[in-house]
Amino acid sequence: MGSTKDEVQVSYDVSNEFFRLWLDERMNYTCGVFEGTDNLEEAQVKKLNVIHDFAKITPEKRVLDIGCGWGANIEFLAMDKGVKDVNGVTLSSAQFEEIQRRNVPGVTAECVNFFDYEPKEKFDALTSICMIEHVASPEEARNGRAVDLYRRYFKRAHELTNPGAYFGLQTILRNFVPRTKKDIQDIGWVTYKIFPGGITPRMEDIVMGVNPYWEVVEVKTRREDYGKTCWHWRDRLRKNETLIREKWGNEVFDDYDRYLSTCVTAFDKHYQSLAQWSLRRID
Amino acid sequence: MNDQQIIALFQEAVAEVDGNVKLGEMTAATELSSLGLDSVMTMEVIGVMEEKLNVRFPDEDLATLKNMGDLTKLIHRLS
Repeated sequence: MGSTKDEVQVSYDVSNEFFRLWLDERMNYTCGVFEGTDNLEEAQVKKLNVIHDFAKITPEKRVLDIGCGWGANIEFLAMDKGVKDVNGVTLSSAQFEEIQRRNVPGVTAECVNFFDYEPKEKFDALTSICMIEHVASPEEARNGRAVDLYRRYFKRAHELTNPGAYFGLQTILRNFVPRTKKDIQDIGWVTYKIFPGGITPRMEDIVMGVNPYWEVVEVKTRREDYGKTCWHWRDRLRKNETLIREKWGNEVFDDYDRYLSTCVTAFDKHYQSLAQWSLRRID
Repeated sequence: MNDQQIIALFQEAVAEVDGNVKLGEMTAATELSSLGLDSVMTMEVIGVMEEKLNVRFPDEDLATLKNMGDLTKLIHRLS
């Protein structure tokens, strides 16, 4: 169901050094918030603040970040927000290695499928920044199974939390299918080549999927912010073109340039958007 | 616009997307899957029709279209 470990490896295990060249310094691989700034580093910190606030995190709360990537959010919560008990799960071995390398006090991570994760204690707050895209595959979405799979994800999140918990969630959204051959083919190519096994959810699928476990308290869409984020990523990728071609080969550079260009177009033309959600646990 | 005009518009849109496709006689009962259009081409045809009709078809409605009658009903509903 959704992306397997092998498929996750295709998306995130190219090389930590490769991703470090074009992501921000903490390696957020998700949409930033460009409010009052055009700087990617600042935009990523603003995004982390939004998710922190949406999850109503305080230093004494025990927090889980589902799909924690290279550890940007868990590091931010521990170091910038003083949260003492921060936990993350990722299915990517390369991302897990990077988290271990950072060795941030107060941060614990496991390299495990979220659905197999069995923590010793429940959590007071959850965050998840663009992991739900790996919960249903294109085939499962086509066969009408997406809502059931998202509901299973929100049910598991409910089981892992204490009463009163909030969930700061960020998701890419699939708005509508392109009508031109090039755009259809490019988006299909990104889906199967760069993020195999995954698909972006539709907003209504999330709204249905949270029931009956979580109440939607607040939603903010940020389509243009994701377009800008992808533009910055592509700009940094292109500035490192020579090095990337030398070290990882022409195919890696060309694939990532095409992928990020497709994303810039997809957000510009409304094919995709982004939503940040504040969810309250239904106790 | 009546059903025949919508079918004619669909045929024009297909010709615009790919002039080599031969559609033959079409009625409300004609199944879209029988026309030999792949999924990419179908979306391109939809895009041309949207432009000509100045409407936008919601994706969830497109996913349920089986035959030309479904398409004509959708266009009447959105017009």
